[in-house]
Amino acid sequence: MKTLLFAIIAVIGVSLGIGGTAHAYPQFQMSRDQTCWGCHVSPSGGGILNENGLNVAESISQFGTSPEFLNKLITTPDWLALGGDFRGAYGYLQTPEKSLDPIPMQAELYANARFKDFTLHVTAGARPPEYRNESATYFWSREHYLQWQTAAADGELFVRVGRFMPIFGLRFAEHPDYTRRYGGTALYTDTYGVAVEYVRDKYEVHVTGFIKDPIIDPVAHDNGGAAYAEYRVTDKLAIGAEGMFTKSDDDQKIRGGLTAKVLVAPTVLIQGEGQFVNQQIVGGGAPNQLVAYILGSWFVTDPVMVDVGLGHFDENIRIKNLDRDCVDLNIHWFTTSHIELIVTNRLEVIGQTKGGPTGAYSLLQLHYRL
Amino acid sequence: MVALAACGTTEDDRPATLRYVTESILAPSCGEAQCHSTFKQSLGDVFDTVVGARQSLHRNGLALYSDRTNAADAELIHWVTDDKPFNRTDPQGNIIGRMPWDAPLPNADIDLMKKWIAAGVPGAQCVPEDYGGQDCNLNAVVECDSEGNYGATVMACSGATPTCVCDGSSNTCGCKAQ
Repeated sequence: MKTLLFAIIAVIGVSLGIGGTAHAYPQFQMSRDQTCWGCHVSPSGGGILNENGLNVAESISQFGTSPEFLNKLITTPDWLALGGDFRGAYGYLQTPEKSLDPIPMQAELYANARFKDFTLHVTAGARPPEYRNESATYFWSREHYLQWQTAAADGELFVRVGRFMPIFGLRFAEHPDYTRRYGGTALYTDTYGVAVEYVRDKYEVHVTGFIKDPIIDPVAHDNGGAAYAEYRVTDKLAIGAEGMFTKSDDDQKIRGGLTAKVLVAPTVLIQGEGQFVNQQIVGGGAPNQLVAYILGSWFVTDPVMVDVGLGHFDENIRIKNLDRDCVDLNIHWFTTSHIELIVTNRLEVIGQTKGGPTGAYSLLQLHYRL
Repeated sequence: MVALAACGTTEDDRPATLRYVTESILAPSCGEAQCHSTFKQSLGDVFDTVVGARQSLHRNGLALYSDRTNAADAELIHWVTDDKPFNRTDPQGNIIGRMPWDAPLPNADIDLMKKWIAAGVPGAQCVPEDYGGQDCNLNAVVECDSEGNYGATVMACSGATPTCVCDGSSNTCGCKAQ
């Protein structure tokens, strides 16, 4: 049975080829729980759900169903948690050439083994294969780390060593969101590092030091450090601050920014992140950039969440018509505890339409959580 | 957002160099993980590092153009301005469309790339160090004139004498290590 299951998963992974991955939904914060750790095993969110997260997945879904791994067809010992995510999309793109395209996104499995205060976590699955090195690069482990955690002063202290995404900013699931794509945590920029994280109901602090991946041909080419702190002023308002320094052979970047989350109604959360970026390019050039994203999320009913996002990115604030703005409309339907349908839409203009062609996409995405 | 969008008033005086074009335009727009990153290297092009961009320009002759008075004729510019620019297909047999695939480039960035190409692609000349101190990529595409002589000023070597072949089919060029 297990062999057959893994064979099916492997075939799905190969057929997907893969072009994206996803993390947690910070849209759930405040209305469901104060912290990412309230629903996820990881202190920074994403991946395997804990018992509370499983209960939320079941309670908000249209048709229920058992939320556990594989609908509880397989039970694991208490020390072992398994999971996985599969995503794919199809739809219309206008960039500005118009096309209909399939977009393979994610086929990953997670394993989390906990022994007392230590946790070993592995995320493994398909990846976009490297050109002319395909046979060796269809699969990889995007995350693998050892984590130590202990209770400390009404909170929980975590130390992670291994490969993971530096913890920075609001950590939206959708990697095209400007504060992810242009904001220091682009798709597959997970790398080796050490993180010290402290999480309690009132506040959380994450500090990460990281290096360029010395093992594979990586996405990110930097060494650096990142810090993010979030303070919950009330149970309906949180503010945060962030900073990141990265240095590669070709440039260095300093990022500083602020975040905020406001639960304006029991079912409406507005959150935003803004960054100022200074890039120093080796050999000349030092553009200052702005990156911002504001997301309003409304649970129309429990199974339906509507996101409206506004993004702004200015690659060089000194030069006119290099800024881009987008309006995103994403509609999530949580059908069962495991299956989510998402319609994602974007309209994007450059220089307020005077700086370049208008882009757009409209995609239907299917997400299956194992 | 509207107030932020109003930023930027200066005429474009950004450096027209490989380093600037790579780090400011190519890496964030073309060098994404699933596209022309070192990680994926889609169709052999890498645009997220200066060395990768330089090698990709050589291998695929992306900065060459037949009309020396028109930098917009360079292949790199066609890729970011034309629909289905060369009717080439990807490994799945689909015709490759205009780049970047997921979001358009600002006109000002395309203009800066044209300016850079028209100036002789400063910084993109073949550097033996990119190839571990060995001769430069012998498959670099070179511009040839009608008599079969190379006129490889666009892809000239850096501090080295190019050794080029113009036989009408391969049109390759290499740079000897110093």
